[in-house]
Amino acid sequence: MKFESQLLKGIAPAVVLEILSRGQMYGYELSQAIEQRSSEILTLGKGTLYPLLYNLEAKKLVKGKWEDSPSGRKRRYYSITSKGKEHLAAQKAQLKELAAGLKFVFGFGVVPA
Amino acid sequence: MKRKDSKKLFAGLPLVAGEYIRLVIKKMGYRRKVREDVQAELAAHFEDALRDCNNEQEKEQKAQKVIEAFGDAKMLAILLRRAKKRCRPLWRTVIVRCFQTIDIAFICLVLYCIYLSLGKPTISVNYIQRAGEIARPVADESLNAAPLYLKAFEMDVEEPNIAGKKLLKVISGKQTPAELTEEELVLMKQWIADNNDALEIFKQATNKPYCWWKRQAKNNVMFNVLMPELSKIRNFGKLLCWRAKLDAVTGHVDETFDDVLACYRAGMHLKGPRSLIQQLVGIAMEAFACNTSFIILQEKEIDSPKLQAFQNEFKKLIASDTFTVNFEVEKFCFYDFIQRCFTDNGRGSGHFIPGSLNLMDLGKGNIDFEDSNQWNAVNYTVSLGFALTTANRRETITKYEKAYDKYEEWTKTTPYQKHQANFDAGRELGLADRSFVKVARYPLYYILMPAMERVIEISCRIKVHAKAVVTTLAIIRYKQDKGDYPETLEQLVEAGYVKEIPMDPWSDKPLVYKKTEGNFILYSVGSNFKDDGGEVFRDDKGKVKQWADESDWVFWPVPKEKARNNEKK
Repeated sequence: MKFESQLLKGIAPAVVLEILSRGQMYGYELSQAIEQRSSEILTLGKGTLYPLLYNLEAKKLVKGKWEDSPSGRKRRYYSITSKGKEHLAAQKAQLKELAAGLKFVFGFGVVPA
Repeated sequence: MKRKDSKKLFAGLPLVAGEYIRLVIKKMGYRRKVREDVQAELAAHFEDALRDCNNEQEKEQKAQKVIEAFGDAKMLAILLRRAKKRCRPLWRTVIVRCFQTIDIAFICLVLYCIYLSLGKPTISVNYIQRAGEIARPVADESLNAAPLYLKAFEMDVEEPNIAGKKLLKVISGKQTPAELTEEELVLMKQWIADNNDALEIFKQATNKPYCWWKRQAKNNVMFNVLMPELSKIRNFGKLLCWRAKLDAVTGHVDETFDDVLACYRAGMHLKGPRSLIQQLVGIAMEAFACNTSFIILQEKEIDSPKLQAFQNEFKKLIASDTFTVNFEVEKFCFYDFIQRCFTDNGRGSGHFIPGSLNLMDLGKGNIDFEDSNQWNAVNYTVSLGFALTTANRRETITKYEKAYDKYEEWTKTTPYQKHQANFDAGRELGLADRSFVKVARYPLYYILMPAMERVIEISCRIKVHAKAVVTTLAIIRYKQDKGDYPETLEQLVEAGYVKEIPMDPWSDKPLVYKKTEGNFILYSVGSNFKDDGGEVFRDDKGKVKQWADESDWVFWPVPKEKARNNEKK
């Protein structure tokens, strides 16, 4: 399913932080993980992913560092920071509230993890 | 980014992927280190995405899909650049912002300079003509001394040199003929003889009641007004004084006094509503005449009737002389400067125009420039600095007019009155505060104004100097007639030798007179306002400093210079 970009844009940072909260990942790995975890419902455009990661890095919610990968090529691994964790917790609480509100309005449940 | 490095980075990737990444990085246009990181990250992304492809064709197709997922290269580059900028540490952001601000400020400055340079002055008044009008009385041309002065200058025989220097630079006007070396004396006599005819014409000129000149100036700018007569008149005055001293030695007393009076009259021709430099030369010539009178009286015993005749003539000159500095022409000079160097934006608050100083020859004579372009460049740079910092036209005029008004007011008070009132011209005019901001706002004000107070003081000095000559003549006459010097100056008045006691502007009391053993002493307390008992100031070399701030100003007996030539002899 293709979401409207504005709709996705609002939740994309929370999705990225949630995925990274489970372990550090590099860009491609992260994009794959988002697709798999959302059962391919959420697909973050590649053109959005890297600018989003850099923005989160600027806000000090994630941090990136170059590491050697098993293939030999260096990759930039992103991990969530403590500030990112706090931000994620706050975002999740808000999304929960939003889901509850949406349920009342539309009569279906949206329950964030 | 080096092509070689990127080739290594893109090894194993389809050509289309490498080109796409290169395009994104090129469009990103950010710091090299950041671009290298992004490039490496994108290359890694492509490599991971294409890892499962079995052949080149499949890789090519998958790469195309990834490129589509990334979207437009230019848009991606913009998003990446924007995001990376946000990652910048605060100190780097501050530096970047500072440089950006400097860049913007510099551009604004350049635009402002261009705006200032485009300003045009409005020349509405011919101040040279106006200065000529106020200097010229309602009188017939035959009463004008200037043509006769010019005639004398044409006949002038050039000043001789001695040891590579001009004669008048080597000898001082305060020396007596006896103090000259043989060579100096011969040269002086010869020069006087050569100029005899010119001196007679010059004396005829001094007998004219008025003197006005037709002025010319480069670009019609008042600052450029040529006054070639000044150095000539001064030299003729000095020459007359030397002839007077030499005539006194040979006993030609009538001619002696005639020459001294002529020198004084020539000085008077330069005073009144004229430029300050003219007035100062006029005062200097009057001072030559006064000094020469004292030297002659010291060196030669002259009988009472001749002294009386000289005293009467001198008194008449003093009575018709003006001892007040006139600032009118100086103001015209300033107004002309304003109308040529400032714009008039219709409201009178125009700005200084860079390059406008090029019209004037201000300071040019003091610096050796290879060519006029070099001079113009220096002048333009200086005036551009002026334009950026100086106050506007109205503020500048107000500031100067206030100062001139105050100076005119101060010419009416004596130095002693100012001293009593704890007066300080610098403080009154704000000249004491020479902070950069103030000097930059009114640069010429701070250059020109401090000298004005000194000019007023010089005009006071010549007044007391001239009165001292008349008083000394009267005292010597008294001695010749009565057999002894008077006890006090009051006796001089009572006996009718002078009409009033000469006042000292530095004490607002009579000049100090004391009878001494076979002589007398006459002096002003001088600019320290303190009676030092008639002490003369001498420098380390024993040279008398006539108007020293540290001592009294002794008129009689004439303070002796260190005997330079006597030692030689």
